[in-house]
Amino acid sequence: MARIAIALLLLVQATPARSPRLADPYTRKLLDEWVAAVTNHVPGVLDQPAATIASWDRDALLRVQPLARAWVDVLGATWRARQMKSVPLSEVDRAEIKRLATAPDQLRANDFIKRAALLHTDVVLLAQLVPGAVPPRKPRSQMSLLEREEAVPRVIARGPDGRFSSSELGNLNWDYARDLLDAVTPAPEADETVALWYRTIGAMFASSYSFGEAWPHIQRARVLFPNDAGILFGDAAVQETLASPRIQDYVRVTKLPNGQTFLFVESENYHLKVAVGLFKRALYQDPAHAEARLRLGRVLSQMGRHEEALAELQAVPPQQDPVVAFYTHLVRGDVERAMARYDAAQHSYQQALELFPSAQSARMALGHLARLRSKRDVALALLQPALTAPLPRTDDPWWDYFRGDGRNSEALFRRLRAPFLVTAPR
Amino acid sequence: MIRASLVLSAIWWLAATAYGQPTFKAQVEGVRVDVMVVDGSRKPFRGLTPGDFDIRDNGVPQKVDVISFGEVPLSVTLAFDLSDSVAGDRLTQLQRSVHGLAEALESRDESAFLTFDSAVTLRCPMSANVTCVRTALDNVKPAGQTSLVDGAFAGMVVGESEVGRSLLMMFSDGMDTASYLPSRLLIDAARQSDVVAYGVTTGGTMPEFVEDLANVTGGRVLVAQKDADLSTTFRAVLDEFRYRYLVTYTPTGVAREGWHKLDVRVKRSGARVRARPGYQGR
Repeated sequence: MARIAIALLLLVQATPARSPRLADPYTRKLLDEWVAAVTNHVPGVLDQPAATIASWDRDALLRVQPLARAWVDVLGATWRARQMKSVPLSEVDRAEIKRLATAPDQLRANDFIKRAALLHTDVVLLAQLVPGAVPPRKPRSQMSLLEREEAVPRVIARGPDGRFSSSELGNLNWDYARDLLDAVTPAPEADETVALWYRTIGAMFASSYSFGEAWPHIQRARVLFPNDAGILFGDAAVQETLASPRIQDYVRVTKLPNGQTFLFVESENYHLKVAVGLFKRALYQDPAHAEARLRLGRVLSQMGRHEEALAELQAVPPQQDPVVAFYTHLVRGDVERAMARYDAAQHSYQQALELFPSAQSARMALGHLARLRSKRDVALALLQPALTAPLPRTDDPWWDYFRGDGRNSEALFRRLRAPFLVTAPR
Repeated sequence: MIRASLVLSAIWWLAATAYGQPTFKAQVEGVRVDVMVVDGSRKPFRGLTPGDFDIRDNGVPQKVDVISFGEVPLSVTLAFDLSDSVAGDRLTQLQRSVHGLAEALESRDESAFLTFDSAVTLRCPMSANVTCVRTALDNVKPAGQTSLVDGAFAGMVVGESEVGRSLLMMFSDGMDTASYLPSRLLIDAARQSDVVAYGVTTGGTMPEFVEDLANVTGGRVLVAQKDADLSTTFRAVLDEFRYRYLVTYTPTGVAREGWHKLDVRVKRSGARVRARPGYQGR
């Protein structure tokens, strides 16, 4: 009996009475601004609607978030709309949203929802947002209602050039976009645009090494699109990067303030194993995915499984993309060197160098191999062209290797935005 | 440190200058070990003779042929981080430090200068001309990421000398973020090299492999507490390295190939010894 009483008490505490938000003129104004911005924003452009949303502070975003969610739920007539209790709004607000949010058909409802997601995407990418400062910890009793309702905020550690510099709050616009796209009907997992959005944004996170923001993104993408080759590939490449020394060393030596710890980064072995599984699943869906196969080869090699790695690398189909071909030769050289097949390794490295003659990575590989074979003068001669080439140098594909799918990010964005540029908002 | 065949000119020179009694052994493998010997206050321990050294190669006592102290010219390779994080006051301090280092080099020394961001750039090839080193950082703009492992490997290859004593002095203020070579390959290569590596950083983080590199080559890692201390820290490295002993012996009673564990001791009270822990025979 005593246990039941305690459980009820906790339940009551967890669901505080909600006061109507739309009765507040400021909140109502924000919601109006949001609807107008979604309707009028041109994807890919920092126009006035995007600038308006970009000017909102965190408090404004938190105020509108449940209203926007309820709005698209009503539009999409989703299961969430049928279970409106899951939306943290008062009955008065729900009724008001139901009255305001109307769309003549499902097509227009989905168009609105996708444009809303693109708006929030552009707000992050195009506007110079000031990162949210991490507030000091305070007891729940001192939190505002908005603060209490917000899920535990993400804190992102910034570490440009391998040094911890600051921490900041995760950007709520990403939560908006994901939340909104969940309202696409008949189901987000059946929608090509939603899949493309997840792949594109994942690629962008990989390109900018934004692993803190990538985490919830990947978690959601895995649930929605467990069999999408592009998303599996992007996820796997992120895992490969998380296993790399640049991340592992950084996490090992960096001391975060206020007792914070890194999430999402596990041991090298863990990430390599996850990457192997994901690359294999991507290849199961798309056996001709050359980059997935070469990366699978590299990851296997990192795990010491050189024979398997070589088999995968030998199976990479010949192709037109010089960067993928370069990576394949370079990684194959590494595997052959690890297997003490030095002549074969040298041949592979030379093939890489033929594709990008001043690539520092290929010259380092050849120089190291020569050094390994006690040919010090040869090593120096091989390195020399890379060390003395004019600056700035941008011609080594290796420097982008750990951006994973980020290499394709610009092309993906063009594909994502294109349908919304040729048609006016519905 | 290990040579497949003895560098004749080097041994001749060492013997002639250090002891006036040329010893010459043709077609014999020689091993050179760079040894730091200091007293309790980290000052160089001077006046040692070959008989003061107890060297064991894979546990087998070796007869020291010749030693030198401060006589052999230096081949100094500076490998400095010029990535994004170095911009600003730190760069100004680095520029001052390099000017100071150039002044401290002797006319018989050689020096080379390379920098690394994403790219590794050889700004001054190994030569006795210090003008290039002195001015190497005068008009640079730090940017990009950090290829510390690649920079260290290139510095090692550039700095290896058949004749002089090779010092690789690395500076970085952060982690490696762009190298192609994994650090374990660098460490393996260092086991086969004569170069003694010192790392300098500025109170920040330094990747573990730099400590490993210093350990396997007999060098050390020094931390400047603030940027303004960089100049004195670099000078301290140069001074420490100059006054080390170069000990040469002809291995006997051990197989040629494979890893050779070295144990270097000095039979003097209060002497502290630092040398590489071994070398890769071939």
